[in-house]
Amino acid sequence: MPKNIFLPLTLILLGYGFWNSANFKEIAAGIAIFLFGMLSLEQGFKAFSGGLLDKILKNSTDKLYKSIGFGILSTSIMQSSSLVSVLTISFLGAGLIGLSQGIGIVFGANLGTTTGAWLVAAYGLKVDIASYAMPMLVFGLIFLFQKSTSLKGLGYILTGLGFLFLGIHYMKDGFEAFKSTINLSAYAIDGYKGLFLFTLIGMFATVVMQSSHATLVLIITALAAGQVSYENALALAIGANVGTTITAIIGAMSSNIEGKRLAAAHLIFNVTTGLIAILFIYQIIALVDYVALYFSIAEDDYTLKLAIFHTVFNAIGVIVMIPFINSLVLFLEKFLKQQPAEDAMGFDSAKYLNDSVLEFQESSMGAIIRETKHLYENSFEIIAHGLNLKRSKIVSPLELEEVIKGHYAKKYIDIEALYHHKIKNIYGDILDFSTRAQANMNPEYIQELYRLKLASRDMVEAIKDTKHLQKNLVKYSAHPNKYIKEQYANIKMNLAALLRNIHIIATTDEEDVIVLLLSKVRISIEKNDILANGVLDNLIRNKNITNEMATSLMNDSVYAYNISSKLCNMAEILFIEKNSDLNEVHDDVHITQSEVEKILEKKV
Amino acid sequence: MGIKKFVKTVLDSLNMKAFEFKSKKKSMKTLLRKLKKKRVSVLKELEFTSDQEKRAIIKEELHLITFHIEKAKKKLIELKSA
Repeated sequence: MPKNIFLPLTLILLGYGFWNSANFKEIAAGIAIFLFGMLSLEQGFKAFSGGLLDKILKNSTDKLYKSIGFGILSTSIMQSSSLVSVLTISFLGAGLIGLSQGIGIVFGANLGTTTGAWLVAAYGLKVDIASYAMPMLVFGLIFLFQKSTSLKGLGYILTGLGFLFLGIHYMKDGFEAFKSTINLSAYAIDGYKGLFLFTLIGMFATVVMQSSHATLVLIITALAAGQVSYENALALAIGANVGTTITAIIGAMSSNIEGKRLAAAHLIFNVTTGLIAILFIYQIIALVDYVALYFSIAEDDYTLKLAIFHTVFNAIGVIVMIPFINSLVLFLEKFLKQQPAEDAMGFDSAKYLNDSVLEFQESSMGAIIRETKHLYENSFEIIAHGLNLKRSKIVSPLELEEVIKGHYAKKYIDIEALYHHKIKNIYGDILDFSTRAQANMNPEYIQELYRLKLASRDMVEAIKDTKHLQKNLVKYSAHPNKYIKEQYANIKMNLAALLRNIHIIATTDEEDVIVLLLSKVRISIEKNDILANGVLDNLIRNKNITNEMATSLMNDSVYAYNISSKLCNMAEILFIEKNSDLNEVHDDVHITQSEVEKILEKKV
Repeated sequence: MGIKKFVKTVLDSLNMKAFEFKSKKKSMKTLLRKLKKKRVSVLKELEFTSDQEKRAIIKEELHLITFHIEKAKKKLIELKSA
């Protein structure tokens, strides 16, 4: 209900304000132009972030100081902590960075956002920035009409900056004119009462505008025009800092638990920083005065002092919170618990495919790779259970003879049901997400995506082949005919060996191990093909098995061959990291089919 | 001229393609070094194994490692001459 009345109420209030005051109209138009500029700027940076920004984010956040540095730098350049926070949540949701790195970036973004206050206080009010806005808008618009994505991005950035400057100009003019009609500073409230009240106003304004940057510019322009007292402006700035977390909270709503934890960390950080600033306001003001004096800033230059205050209290927040990052992570993990990926009916679903990363090709690719690995985990489990083997034993150091002796269950495992519960949804989600992500990808990424889709398809087909194989595997594993029993035991043993090798490939970083195991698996697939190696012919010729058994064995050996080949193909795609050394040379060193045949011929 | 085309022209004019070869060469060298190291350890293992069945398995592995070493060496020569 409040949501339904919020929009009409806002429109009515604005309409009433515009009717009554031309200056209010000018200030509101300034805010609207400023916000539009921010949207345009974000759009521009998104055009460039297709690859570059997400690559930097991925590679430069492995240490806390790097994460904080990245947050400061990216927010200073993009002038939007919201964009950086939402981007970080997306990355976290896609599992590309950890929670502590995410928290580091958000801390840094809080510091980076203070550069906006400096720019506006130092230049925005003292220089006629509207004169810079016009050429920017004109050039920006020309670039916007170009076909090239990069030029379009540049166009968005230029028009964005143009609108930001124009917005500041209108706000400044509006407050200046306001001064002659109404004096808002007459409503200034001293002491803690005023501090809390104006903090709440700052919060509210930021929640409505969804931009602390816009609130801050508004505060600085009002302060410059003397429409708000210095102390109340400080309180408004504190409120803006707390209110800005709403963007991250909204961004996290569509994210997974990690994104929600980061939004909570952002809220905790900003609320704590705000409380510290309120409690120690007079000490911080004294510190600001000292810093201002040190840098020869005039005693009555309150706009620059506000910028110093904004930086000082955010820096204090970061310094105070850094030692508690690990405790904060533990706290968030304890109180915001991961919902099981499986629903009440036991249906597993995608864990990493977050719509918010769709615009960023590197992040989308990272999310799809992780999800495909999730699909692999489930496929491994189903194939192991289909062979009536325990997954834990396959990946253990136990001898394979011991592994195949143990059974997973006494009952017949329903692979079809397992497929519906653990594969179908994830597979469908991967295909759907990939199709949508492809729209923002360059040809190189699309090619990589195609390979990943093939890997998923290979897994699904391997499961289906396991289902076909399972029936006779159960039937002949306890058959009185020792020849057929031995053949099915061999099939089981070879597949268990394959699963073990693929598990090693999936978990190692050693290039030589991966190359050798992949070759070993390829050779073993051909070597154990009983249609080609003459074993089946011998069994039939010597009448060791019946015709019915021979048919079953022939079909099932094809299934086993297909399972092995498909899992091997999948491993080559999924477990050779895109940017690794091995990926660089794999095409040159991997064993070809003709080489496998040559090696086997030599042995014969 | 599009940005991509511009970047490509600059890379071509500065002969930057060589960097790709250099990185590939480096990756190949790393792999070769690891494979050689592996061969030494497998040879040692063979020396201390008396069980014939196990010896056959180790010999197979040795054969495979040697095959990959030869292949990597050949490719490295190709890359060096490119």
